[in-house]
Amino acid sequence: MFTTLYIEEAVKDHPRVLDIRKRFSKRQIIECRHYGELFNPKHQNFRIQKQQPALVLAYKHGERVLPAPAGYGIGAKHNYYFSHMLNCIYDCRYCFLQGMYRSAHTVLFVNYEDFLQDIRSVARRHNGESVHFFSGYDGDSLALEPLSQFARSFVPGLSDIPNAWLELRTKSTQVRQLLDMDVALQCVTAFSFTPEPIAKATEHGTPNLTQRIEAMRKLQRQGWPVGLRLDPLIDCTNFEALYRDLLETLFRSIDSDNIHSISFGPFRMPAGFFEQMVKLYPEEPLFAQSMSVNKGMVSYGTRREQEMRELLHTMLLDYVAPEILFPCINQ
Amino acid sequence: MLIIHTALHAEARALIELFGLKRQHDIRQFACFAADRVFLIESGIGKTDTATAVGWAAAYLQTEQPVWLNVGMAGHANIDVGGLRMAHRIEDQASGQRFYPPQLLHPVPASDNLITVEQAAHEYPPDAMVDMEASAFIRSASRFSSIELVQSVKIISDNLQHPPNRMKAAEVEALMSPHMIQIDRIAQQLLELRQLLIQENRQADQILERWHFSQYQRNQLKRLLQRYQALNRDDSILDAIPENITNSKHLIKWLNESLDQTTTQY
Repeated sequence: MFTTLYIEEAVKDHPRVLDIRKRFSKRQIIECRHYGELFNPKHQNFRIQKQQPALVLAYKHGERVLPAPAGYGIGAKHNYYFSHMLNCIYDCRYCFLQGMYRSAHTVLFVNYEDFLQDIRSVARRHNGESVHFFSGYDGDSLALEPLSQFARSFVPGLSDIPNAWLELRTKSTQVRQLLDMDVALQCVTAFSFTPEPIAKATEHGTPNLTQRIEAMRKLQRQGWPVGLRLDPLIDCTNFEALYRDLLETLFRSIDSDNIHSISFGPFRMPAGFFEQMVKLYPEEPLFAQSMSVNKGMVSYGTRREQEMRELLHTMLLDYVAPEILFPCINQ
Repeated sequence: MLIIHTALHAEARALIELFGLKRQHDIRQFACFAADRVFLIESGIGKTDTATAVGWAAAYLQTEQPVWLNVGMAGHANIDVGGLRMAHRIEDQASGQRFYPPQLLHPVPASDNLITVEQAAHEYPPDAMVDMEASAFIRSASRFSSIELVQSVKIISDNLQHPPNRMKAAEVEALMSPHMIQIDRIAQQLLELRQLLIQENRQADQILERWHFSQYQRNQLKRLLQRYQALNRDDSILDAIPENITNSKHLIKWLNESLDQTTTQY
């Protein structure tokens, strides 16, 4: 998958790095002082790098657990996110990462134990109230699992933090590590979906709908909490028909009584990111439709967003209870 | 456009032959050679001359996102003389600044670290090639092109067994020549990557010829045409423009209105 591996000098002897490095024996291994040396400079092109991104192994300093943006929760009062990974092995055209980062290399922070320790501290601050921690903001939580062993190392560590909930957000089918461990009832694996024709056109390199559903079913059958993420909702001429088909397909296969949460929200993007994405992919139909800009966010416009949300909400109520539905709303 | 930089004429000779380049006698600042879409500039030895040559070439050629290739000799403690390496990390010894030209080629060519020094050195670092130009080259060239398109290719001229000496031009050429096929392959792959950045639009050129557009309108038109083509893949905008459009303002208004009513179908 990766032909080049960059390693921060400070972590070159970290056990996790040594383990990953073994799999790179015949590939280019390049030491750097800090991942920012190659990740942050100007005059890089995300689109070109996405042709052959490298893996960067690094140590995450500073604040590792941050408050989640308002309007993105799945039921808890306290929401945080953390990024043990920057960027994603998939190439979804609607993804904000293309607009946010200059580099398409995938950065993996190997000090998982520090993330877990920070989660422990944050959870303690909330005196027993439920706290949700989201891991899939800046990259797919599970797609790199065979290499990163993130879930395998991380999930068991939650067992002694009773008020902490973890969301693993993914489009991948890499659930074997979870299936091999004891079920953690406070770990929600949330699968993202768009209707198949949209996925084919915009989610490059991802497993198809059937494969994702199968991974979700396996977890569900074993008792793992699973979630559905219909975010972003992509507008199109045949929006209603495509999403109706998608929900029919999903709920034909998964147990609708055993879903932890479903969140959904129309495509929206900070205007600066959107502008960058248009520069990278000017020929992309997704960016060519008419869009509105409101308070620095690009979207389909308040009225259309409302229509899309209401439509989905109504359709979803045919399958699940309203308590597990969480519309994503910009605040 | 491919812009090749070498320090010396001896390093350039095989490249001139490879690409069929002709001396540009009207250029007096640097020895330059050119053919269709390929330009070679010889800077002389060292960082200052290299940075000057790169900046000059960029200003002279005025090309959008050219591919930049530095080709030259380097020393290494134990790589065989005559071996070719791409530079995957270039460090300026004086400032400590490092550059990481992304490695995007298939198959991945052999590569190594490269340290650019101010003065010819008599000792080799343990894990890097040594030259006198690359850090200045990449620093300058990456101001004009995205760094993926800026690469340095080195041929090993000396090592611990064969210390540096004053090589004759023919000896340098003899080391360079066997690698021309690979250098050509590297250049072609980089040019293919460049295509991802260059959006040519012949229809826009035809429209710009038909009516007068201010610079602001040109920018508007460029994006509107991109959107039109994204949403109406095979349709020619030229065929779709209504006959009652008589000027650039009308055209932009019509395009805006027409695109506002178009949605993607999946």
